[in-house]
Amino acid sequence: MLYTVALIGNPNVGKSVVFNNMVPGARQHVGNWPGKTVDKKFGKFSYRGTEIDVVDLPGTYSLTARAVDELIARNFIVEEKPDIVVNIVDASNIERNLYLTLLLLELNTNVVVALNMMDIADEKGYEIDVENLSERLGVPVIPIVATKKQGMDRLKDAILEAVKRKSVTETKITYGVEIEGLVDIIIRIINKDTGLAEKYPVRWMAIKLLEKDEDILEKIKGSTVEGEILKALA
Amino acid sequence: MGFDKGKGQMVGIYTALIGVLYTVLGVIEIFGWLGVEILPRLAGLFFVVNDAFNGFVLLVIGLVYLKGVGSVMSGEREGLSYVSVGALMSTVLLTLYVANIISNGLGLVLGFEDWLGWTVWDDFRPGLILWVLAIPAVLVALKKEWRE
Amino acid sequence: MSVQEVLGEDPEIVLADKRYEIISEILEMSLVRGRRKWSSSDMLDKVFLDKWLGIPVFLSFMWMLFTFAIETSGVYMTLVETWMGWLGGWFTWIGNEFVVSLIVDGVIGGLGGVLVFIPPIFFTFLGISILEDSGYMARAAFVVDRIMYKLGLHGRSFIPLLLGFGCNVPGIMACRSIEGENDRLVTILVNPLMSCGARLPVYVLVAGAFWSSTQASGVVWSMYLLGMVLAVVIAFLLRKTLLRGEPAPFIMELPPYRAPTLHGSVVHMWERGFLFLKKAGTYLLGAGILVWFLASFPMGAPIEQTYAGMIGHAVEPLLRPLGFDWRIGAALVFGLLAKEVVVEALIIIFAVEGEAAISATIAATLTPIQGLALMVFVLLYVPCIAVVATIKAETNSWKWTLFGPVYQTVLAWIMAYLVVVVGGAVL
Repeated sequence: MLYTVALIGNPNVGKSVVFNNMVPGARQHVGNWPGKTVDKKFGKFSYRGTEIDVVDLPGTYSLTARAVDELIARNFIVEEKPDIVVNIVDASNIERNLYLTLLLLELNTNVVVALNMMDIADEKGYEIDVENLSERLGVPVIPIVATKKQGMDRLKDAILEAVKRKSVTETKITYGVEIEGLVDIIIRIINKDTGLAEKYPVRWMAIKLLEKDEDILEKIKGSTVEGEILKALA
Repeated sequence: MGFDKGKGQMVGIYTALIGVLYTVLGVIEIFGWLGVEILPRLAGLFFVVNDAFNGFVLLVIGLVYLKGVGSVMSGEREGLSYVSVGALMSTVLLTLYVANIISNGLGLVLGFEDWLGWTVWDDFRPGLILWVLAIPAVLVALKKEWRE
Repeated sequence: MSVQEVLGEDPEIVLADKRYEIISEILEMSLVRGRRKWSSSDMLDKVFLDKWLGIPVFLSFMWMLFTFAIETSGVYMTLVETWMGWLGGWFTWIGNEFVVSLIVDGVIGGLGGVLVFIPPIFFTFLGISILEDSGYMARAAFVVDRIMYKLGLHGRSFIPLLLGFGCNVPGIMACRSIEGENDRLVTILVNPLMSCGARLPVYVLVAGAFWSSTQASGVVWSMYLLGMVLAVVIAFLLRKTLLRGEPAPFIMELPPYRAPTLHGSVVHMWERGFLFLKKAGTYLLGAGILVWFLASFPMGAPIEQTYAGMIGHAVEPLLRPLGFDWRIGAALVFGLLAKEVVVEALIIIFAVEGEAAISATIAATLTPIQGLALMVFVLLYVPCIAVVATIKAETNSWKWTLFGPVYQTVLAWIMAYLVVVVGGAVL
């Protein structure tokens, strides 16, 4: 069985170091994202008898439809549906980094958080309760120091476990009664078009529609429920 | 966080000494460049070449050491920053002079005209000997446990 | 409730705020921000960013850089020159006097005269790479920024100015990252005052003619310093007159310190140095041949009556007060092609071979004060045509494209004249 893992994270969080640690140099490939000039790095590694494909997504702070690299990253996750998305988080800058993590959780992906740069966080005097963080986010959180190759095996173990579990992360992130009320209304409308509901994560679509995301507004065009959604949004 | 007071005083006195030496030699170089000779015997001992720019660098290194003296004396670790950076700059300056000596030595070995009369002493500068005196500062800078 | 009522005009921002709220809730439970440990990085910053010592420390490192570039590289320059000499001697077998002159005087003499400066140029790049890779350059930028900000300059100006030390063209292009239009224009206009790598051969040649290598590196260091100081002064004046306005504040992220590796620094040196080699092999080669032609025709005429001589004589009256004759005048005009060409042109016009010979000729033609004035003039006068073209492309205005070279030439003349007058009075 071949699994696909996507690496994602903010710029400068050591994502390519993690990639290099996972995939031996000879098995790395560089190409372009279709029709774009953004580099696409991918490769393969095997761990405990399992072959795993790794795709290095562009470094982004967010997942809006406005920037090319953000759109590439999010389309890959939504359309190619990798088995696991490894979110690399800079522990020394955790507040800003978790923003992307929340967006990934919205996407209903099977997320594993790699908490990188633990050494620098430590120098800054940060004490991170990894278990508590994992519980609050509802996903595995693995502390690593990629530059020193610390925690890489634990990260790979976590990936294998998550792959086998195969349960898609049930997000624990909620936006409060009022917004959730709106989200529910949109979800109910989307679910009427089963084709659309099966193609994309429904809750994510609902939230993006509330944000007036252009790419999603484009994607619901032609759906039987398009008119109803636009009416609800107005 | 601080460190042992007795050690701090020792390091402080030493830093003051080395700082004064760098500063004085820097001033001698600058004045020498302007044509005013001060303490010629000390200048000779340290191979002063009366170059204002050389003197400026020595002066700056001296002031870096001196600025740390007070806080090292009272056992504040901030003071060690100045000792460490002073040691770092002393070492970079030494590396520069060593690189010079090696290159010019190469000129002599290759028998180039301009290098026929060259001797190692031509490239001796105060920065070389001062570095030897600054070795304890380098050791202080390298000692990690003092910082944490 | 309608979407409007809950999420307002910009739902994206409302949701983003909500997400940050959730993050702080999560972190409240799982993150303890302890007292920062006193790291090596803090130790170094304490001194490198010191209010009083920051600038002197920066200037000290700069001096060490130029001493390394000029004193240490002397032997290697002689080495390259020796090879050039052999190469020149080898071509005499051709026999045809005209072709031999083209190759030996035009190509090997002219271009070779520039190639001799590969060692100091590469050493400078190596030093700059080490300062950059270690994370120190960002601190230097920070310290200088403090002064610039007080003078009403945009902090982001410093990075483009720093790039200008390599070459002003990328320096000017990097000004795109500056937001305010007036901030950007000021930075573009003063960028050519930053002494680019192309001017180094001129300094090394002229300073080497008059002073020992120890003193020469100090003199070259002063040129770079003068360029920086004038850039700040001119920028300040422009902000107060033609391009008024308050600069936007700027937050700089300081990268962590790292011990520079030999491999990394050499790679970075090579990336920059390779550009110089490419320029030498194409542009400077062509310029050398062009100068040789202009200095050889009309055929058989004495050098004074060649086209190069005519150009020189045309500008001579303007340069007389500075003590430059028609030969230096012609070299300065050719320097518009690229500033390295000044050296090529001097070698061809004075019809000498090798760096030692041209040094001796310059020492015989100029006084040390006039030599200093020449260096100041080369530092400041019209940047090369590539820079002028870049200014045009980036400002998209003929007005500013003309303004740049004009103010620079006026400034160069005034400063060089000051050197001659003040120097003459002191000595």
